[in-house]
Amino acid sequence: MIRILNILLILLFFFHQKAFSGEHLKISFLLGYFHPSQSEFREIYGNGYPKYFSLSLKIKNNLFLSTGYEFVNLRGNAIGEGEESYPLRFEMKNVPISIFYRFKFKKLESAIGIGLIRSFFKERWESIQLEYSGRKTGYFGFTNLEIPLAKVLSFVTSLRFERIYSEDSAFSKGIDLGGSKVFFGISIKVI
Amino acid sequence: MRVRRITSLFFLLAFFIFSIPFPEQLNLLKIKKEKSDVLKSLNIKVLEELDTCYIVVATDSELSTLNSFKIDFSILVKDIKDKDFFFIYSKNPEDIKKLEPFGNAIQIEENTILFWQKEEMGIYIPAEFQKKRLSKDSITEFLRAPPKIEFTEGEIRENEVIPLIIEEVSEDNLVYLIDTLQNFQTRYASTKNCEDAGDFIYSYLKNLGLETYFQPFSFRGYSSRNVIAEKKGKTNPEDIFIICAHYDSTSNIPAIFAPGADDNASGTSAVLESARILVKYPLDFTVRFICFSAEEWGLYGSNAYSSSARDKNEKIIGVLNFDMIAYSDKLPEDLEIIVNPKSEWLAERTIQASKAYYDYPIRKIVSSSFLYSDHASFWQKGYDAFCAIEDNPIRNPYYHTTYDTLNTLNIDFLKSVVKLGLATLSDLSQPIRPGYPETPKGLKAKYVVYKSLFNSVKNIYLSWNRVEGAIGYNVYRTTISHLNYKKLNVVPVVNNFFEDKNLKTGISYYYVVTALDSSGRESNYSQEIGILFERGNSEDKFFLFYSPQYFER
Repeated sequence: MIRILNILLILLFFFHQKAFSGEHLKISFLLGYFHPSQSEFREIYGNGYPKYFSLSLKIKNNLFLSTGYEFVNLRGNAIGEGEESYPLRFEMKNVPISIFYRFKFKKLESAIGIGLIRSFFKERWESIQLEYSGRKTGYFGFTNLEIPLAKVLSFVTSLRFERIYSEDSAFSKGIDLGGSKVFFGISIKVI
Repeated sequence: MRVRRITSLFFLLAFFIFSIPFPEQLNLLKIKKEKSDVLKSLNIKVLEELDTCYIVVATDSELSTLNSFKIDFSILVKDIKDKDFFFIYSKNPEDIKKLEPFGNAIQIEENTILFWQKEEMGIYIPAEFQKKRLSKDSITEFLRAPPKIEFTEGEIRENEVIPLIIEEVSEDNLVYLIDTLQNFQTRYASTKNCEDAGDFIYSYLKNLGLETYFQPFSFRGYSSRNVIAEKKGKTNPEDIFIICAHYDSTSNIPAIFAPGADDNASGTSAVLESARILVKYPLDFTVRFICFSAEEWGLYGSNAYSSSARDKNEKIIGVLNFDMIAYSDKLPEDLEIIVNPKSEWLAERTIQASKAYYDYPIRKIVSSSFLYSDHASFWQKGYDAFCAIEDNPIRNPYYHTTYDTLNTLNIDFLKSVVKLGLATLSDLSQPIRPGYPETPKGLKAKYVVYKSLFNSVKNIYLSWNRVEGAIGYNVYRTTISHLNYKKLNVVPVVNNFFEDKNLKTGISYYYVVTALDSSGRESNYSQEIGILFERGNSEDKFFLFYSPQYFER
């Protein structure tokens, strides 16, 4: 956790020094729905509800940088043909960094962007001593829509497609920890 | 014109001849005993496994393949076409000199000489040497990495019938059998006397009421017969245990006089006496009583038998071979049980049977290089077998002489060995005890793998047929086939199924089940079932086998 905060601070410092135009800094709080792309993932854990906090900064004209912190906790059961039940827990913490281009359409603001995502995850078998933790880097593409509610407050919705591939897995092929995510929340303009 | 036609024809013919591939020369090699999996994957023909090396046959192009895989080998003999090879047990360094007049001899291990005839001579090996003919059949498919097992002390579950069985061993009958066999004057496999001895053995077994038959085979221009009798198991007749000995003999004048009282009327008497006693007792598993011929010529009889058994994929679980079990050079004489690493469980089980039923000193020797009796023919075909022998190296001064007669034997020692052998055989084949629940049948195993994203848990789901009158079942597991079963359940299992959880990859697990009745009596063990999860390249592989030799994916 400290490491993630450190990364965020470094990024902020970097933006402040080199890129930030001083015209725009927004923070967003979002709740979402996660639909994993791999069927085995869905079979074990189903869909999830991630929480996402993000910062976005203007670099130049309509070009923006964004970073944040996202986490999702999932509960599921091991898959097998027997009668036994093995409850599982899966925790995933992500730090996405993206660049996006903003369009304005009357009062609406829309954006399209791409980015990299660093994912830290841990899977635990609850009834036996078995766990796995790992970290992977993936990539994603997304689109945002912002509807202003007040002077500094907007409603935000975001649709993201991400791929976080891990060769390590219990399956003959690797596993994709990414999928589709839809977020809804608010955005506050700080500057 | 005519000349041109002839020339064209000549060239065509020459082209045709040269386009036929010449058969490659075959070489006999010695390869250091490692990388058995590489040899298997290259499909290199391994003919024999010794303690320190494999004896391999390879073409010139296969030699280059071995080189490219950095496998250390040395060529023993180039171009082995039409040559017959023998392994000879060497007791001292002078042995090789004694053999040189009769053929070519190379020391390939401390106690092993490779021998083959000189071109101009027939096969003659002096009678004083123990020998085994090198089979031309490949053993590559049976190669397994030696089990990394530390044998710990274990106990067998005692069966009240077994003490009654071993009590029946008759000294008088053993003496009668040896006397009768030595009175054939010779049992040298190429003689009519040996055939008569075979007839005697056949009648003896047949008169006991056992299903008996001859297995004819030929060797070096002669023919002879193995004598086989079978007592079918009541619960799982497909599981077979064998007690065997060779009945042929040899000496310095083998065609005329070779009484072979110790070698091997003694072993033959053990087989026949065991048959006489066991015929009366119902058993869970099948027992075969086999007397082989032409062992003294290079294990031809047992080789014919084990080849045929493997061709039929018979489920031979263990072979007890008795060869020279009546001479004692000291008192008390201990019994030597010789096994290869794969068959070590059989020696351990004998030691446990001895502790439970008939305490007798046993010396276990684990050696793949002791090939000089019929057990080696079973090793060759991937079956587990032991050789019980009075001494290795042989200390009987009358060995392979005309003086190997009944009066030189220690019948007390013989009787003890027969009791011990019978205790082991009974323990393996399981006499059915009146008043006890029936032995469970139909044990099946299904593997169940539970997976998360990154881990998996491997369970075995066992099921079996219900036993009438049983109030519960016990499930036992071991990691060494047929040895040291440990109970898994704390309270009796009420249903006829059980799931064993969290098994590890790379370990073989073997299971048996027993039935319990309301008065707490427990049945014999069921047939054993085994399972192995092997680590694969991408995903773990799974093997289910009913005994170590029988793999079923």
